[in-house]
Amino acid sequence: MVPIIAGATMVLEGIDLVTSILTKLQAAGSIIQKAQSEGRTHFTDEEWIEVQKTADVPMDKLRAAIAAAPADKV
Amino acid sequence: MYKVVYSKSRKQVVGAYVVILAVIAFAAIQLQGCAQLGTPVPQGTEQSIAYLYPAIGSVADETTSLLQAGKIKKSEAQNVLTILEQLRGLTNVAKDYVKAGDEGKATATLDLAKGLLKQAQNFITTKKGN
Repeated sequence: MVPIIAGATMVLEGIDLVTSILTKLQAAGSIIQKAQSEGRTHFTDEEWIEVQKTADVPMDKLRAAIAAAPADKV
Repeated sequence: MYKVVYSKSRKQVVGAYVVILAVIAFAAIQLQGCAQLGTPVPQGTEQSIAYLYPAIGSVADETTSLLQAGKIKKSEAQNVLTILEQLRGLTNVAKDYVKAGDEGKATATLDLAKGLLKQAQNFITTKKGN
């Protein structure tokens, strides 16, 4: 029973993390798709800001996590 | 005892799976696109650069998870963040070059940024295995 529950947890945890990666890729992909559908290979400034958010938001979360983490034990 | 050993093994499997998937997904999109992901094939250097940002975000998310799970030290997370900030800066430089019409410098900067991204991913892969 325990391995079954743990296995299901592993799958769910994996799906959760994979979904996070795919969501970010698709966010950038949808902006690229829009540019391509309009016959452009270049982005507008607003589109660049949206693309950059896929890096900036997680980096801000990492900064906050580092600030909240206890100091390393010597 | 069983629980501790199992827990470590589970994290290794999930972590390795996610990092490998991130690298494969990024490479697949760069090379030929992936209809299953619903992501278009990048056309030109500018659109290739755009896919680096979510890759940076994925590494940042992974590092946050590792730090909060106590798998890496605060100083190690700071080191990854420093690499990601350099990577973010390089990606912006590549973007500026391509907007200025200098495809050669943009491609060279993009390659440098990919090297840095690989460093950060290698670090995470190593830590996931500990």
